[in-house]
Amino acid sequence: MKAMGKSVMLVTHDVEEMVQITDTITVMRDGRVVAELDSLKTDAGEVKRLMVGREIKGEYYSSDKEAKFDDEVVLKVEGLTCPNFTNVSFELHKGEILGFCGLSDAGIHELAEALFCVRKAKGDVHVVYANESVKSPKHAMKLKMAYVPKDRDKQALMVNDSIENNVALPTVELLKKKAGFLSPGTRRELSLKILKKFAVKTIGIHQIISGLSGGNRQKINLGRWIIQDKNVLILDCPTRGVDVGVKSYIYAEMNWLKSSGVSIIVVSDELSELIGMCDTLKVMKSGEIVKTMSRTDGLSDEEIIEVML
Amino acid sequence: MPKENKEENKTETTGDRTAVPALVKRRKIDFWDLLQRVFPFVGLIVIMIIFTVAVKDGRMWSMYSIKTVFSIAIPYCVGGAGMVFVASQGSTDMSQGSLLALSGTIGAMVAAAAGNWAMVPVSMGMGCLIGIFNGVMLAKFKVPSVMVTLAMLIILRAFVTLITNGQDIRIASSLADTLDSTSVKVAILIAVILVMGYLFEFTKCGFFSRCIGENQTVGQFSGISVKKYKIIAFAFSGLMAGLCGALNVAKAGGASPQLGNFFELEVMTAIFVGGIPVEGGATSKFYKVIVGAFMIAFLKQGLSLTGVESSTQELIQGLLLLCVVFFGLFVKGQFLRRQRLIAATES
Repeated sequence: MKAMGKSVMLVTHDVEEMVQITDTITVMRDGRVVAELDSLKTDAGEVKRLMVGREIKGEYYSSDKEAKFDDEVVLKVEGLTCPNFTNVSFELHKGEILGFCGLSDAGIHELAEALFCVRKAKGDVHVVYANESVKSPKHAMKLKMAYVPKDRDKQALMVNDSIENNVALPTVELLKKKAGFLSPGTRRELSLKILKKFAVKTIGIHQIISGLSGGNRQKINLGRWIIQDKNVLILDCPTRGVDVGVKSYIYAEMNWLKSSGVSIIVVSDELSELIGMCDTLKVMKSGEIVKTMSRTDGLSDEEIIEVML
Repeated sequence: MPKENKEENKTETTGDRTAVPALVKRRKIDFWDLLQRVFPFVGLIVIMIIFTVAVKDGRMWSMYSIKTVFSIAIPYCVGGAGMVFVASQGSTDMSQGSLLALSGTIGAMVAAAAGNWAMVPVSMGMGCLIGIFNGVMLAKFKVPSVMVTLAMLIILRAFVTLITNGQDIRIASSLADTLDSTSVKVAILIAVILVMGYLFEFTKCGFFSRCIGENQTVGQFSGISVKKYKIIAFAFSGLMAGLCGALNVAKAGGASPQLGNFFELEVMTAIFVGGIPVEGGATSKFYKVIVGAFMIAFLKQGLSLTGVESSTQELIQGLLLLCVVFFGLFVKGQFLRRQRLIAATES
């Protein structure tokens, strides 16, 4: 396009990509332009700093050099098969962050859905600590699994409903009292707790979700699962369409969960985030796991992309 | 982690007394939000005022007139209390009228054979069973609820004619008198409001129903078994239709094949006039059912007292419904737009 003499305006969250392909960058924050930069003279770090308005520390991702997790297996997946992937088997350990990457037709998102039984698949997802296999999303929740789907606005949140109701949706079992009573007071407390704990920018718990920014929506989306006592967290593109500040916040939260013994499965399109966070990374290609890499051996883009293609 | 969580909860609630009201108070009373909540009441009051003025000699508020209003409103309230579950999911139950007729007829037949006590439980049980059947068919075949229940409307009506051979079935006059007495009907109304209102507003049944209406996929991804709650909703709708069947049979002194014709449409009119959104979702509230039912009841009674012909009455009802639905959509749109605006200016 540029060679044809046309101008391109690119609006994106992906800072690294932007610095590489653009000529000039305009950074906006809180509805104001804060800087105009020459792409050749700047780097991703500076852009991020301007976007957030404060320095983002070096360990934006996990600082561990080695894979670090318990030997205890929490989830054992055997021969999971559906039209989008075949014969997927793996084990998830306590305190492990397990990443899945692949091209869009590799079946990674479908795999995440199948693990939570939202998508029908043959095979066995065995929860070791409960000694039961997952039968339905509700059953999975009972077995202390959580799933944050890829499409926040269509699959995760009721966009025309209040924060309060959205928080209550997956936490109903937690809120339920005698005779199935859902007390408005308890619901409000939980919502307020999430707003406070995750520093959500909002006018209150009655705010409609569609009035929130992507980052704040994601904070609520994640927060309502994290606040519960879960052992396995399945995150599908957890940082999709959120700004740098919220991203680092989500990574910090993931690290904290990991240290408290929660196992996390991350499915993502963003390689840098997987490389930065995962203990173990599995690369999928047209529905099969083709390579498993460990953080200990070092993860690199080139190697992964080579396998992916 | 669960224990820790609970303790955290406790300390937060005791330590945060000051912070909690702060966030709650900051909720601005939005004009459109307020309108969305109160407009059923405004409609009801406007109708009351109009007829208080229009009907001469204060006959609108005579004991007899109020009794009539209640006897019109009670079946709508009862039927609506069941249908609101279906409506809040964004589905429609077209079969309520025929269901009422069938369960009422069977109730009357069993009552004649086994004794008066059987009337209400048998009607309700029958209604519930057919409701469950409706729900199962819907969940199984994934067709729009209008289609399934429309088919059921025809099928059930045919059953009624088959069972009764087109004849009326009389019930004992003592039973009819007890069930049709004002005190019993008001007691039933209060019981229905309390039980169904509680189920709809304060338990998962109602909450999940509203969530399904808001976004079915989200519900499914958050662990709601959508099928189960669809079946439950239709079961409630059938149960309440069965109760209405018993009441209607008692009122008429017996079951006839024409029992409850167009009942489902009247109930729908009542709940939509009350402000339940057609597409279901979070703004479905139980009080709107009751307000809507009384709005229609007052309108009907007022119109007949002022001597308006029945065809004109229907015309007015239809126009009212049309206005309310458009108005409801308009208010909802404005409300959502305002919410986004507020959020933008706040941050």
